[in-house]
Amino acid sequence: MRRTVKAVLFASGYILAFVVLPPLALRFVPEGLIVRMTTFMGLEVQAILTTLALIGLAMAATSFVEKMTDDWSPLHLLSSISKEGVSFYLTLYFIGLADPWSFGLVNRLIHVEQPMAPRLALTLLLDFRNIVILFAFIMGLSILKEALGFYYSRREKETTSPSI
Amino acid sequence: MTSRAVRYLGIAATLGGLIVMVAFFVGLYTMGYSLMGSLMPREGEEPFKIGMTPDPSGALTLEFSMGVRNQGFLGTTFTVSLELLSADGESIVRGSDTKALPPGSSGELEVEMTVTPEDVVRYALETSRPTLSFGFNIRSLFDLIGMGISFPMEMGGG
Repeated sequence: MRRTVKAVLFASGYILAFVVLPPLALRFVPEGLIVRMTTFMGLEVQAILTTLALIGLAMAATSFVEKMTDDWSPLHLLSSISKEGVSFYLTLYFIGLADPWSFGLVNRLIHVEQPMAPRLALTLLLDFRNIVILFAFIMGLSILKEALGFYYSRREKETTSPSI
Repeated sequence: MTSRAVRYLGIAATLGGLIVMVAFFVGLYTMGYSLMGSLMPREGEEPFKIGMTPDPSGALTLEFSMGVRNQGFLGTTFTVSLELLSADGESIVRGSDTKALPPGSSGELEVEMTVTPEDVVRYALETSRPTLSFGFNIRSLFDLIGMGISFPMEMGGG
């Protein structure tokens, strides 16, 4: 019972943070800024919200399964690794300005309005590849921790379970 | 013993993630604020000065200077790179300058490029409208992250 409550609470937290809150927060952003983001930087706000919602649902599902299963269960290991993968994807998504496959190297054309002059086309370059490598290393540590936890709890279970 | 190792790994991963995230945001703040401070200076100041002076020998000297400010919390390296392109987009001459600045300090980036008399004639720089490709890059957080902008500027003929 306590486990179910914990699992539901964690999953609800992810749904609240990624599915419910972003569209609500968007209502407080001036419409002009949203139009500028779309026109000048090519950022589609609706697509970003949809991606965030999908990430939130994936996080909620993996977190729910993780909390509902025992440490020795292969399903627990699988859900933990999936959660790490999804959160790494989220990091890539933010760092890559909605383009996760850029792996931290963003090269984007921006159109800037100038008073009394033609539009200026700027190229914005962001190089966050080293940060992506650091986050990948941290994800590796987390996966190693989950794998070791799974291995030892499985071994413990095998040694303590009564033999037939 | 083994559960302790797993716990330590978990703590290391969580702490590592937090440290990287905080460092990333501090670096991002430093670069963004310094980029804006350098390209959008205070009222009455110009972001950069540029001049093209002809030489008696027929060569053209292009002088560029730009004030930069590190307005963040980390040491930052500023680089400006320029490339003069002919009306057809051919590279005529290029130059760059780099300066590393500690937090709260300011400096000047200077680039001087000389176009040979032969190139002045070949690319008809006296009459055509060459383009100056401007690139401005900032690196911070021990050179781990970088940010930059580039854009073309059309120069007046002659």
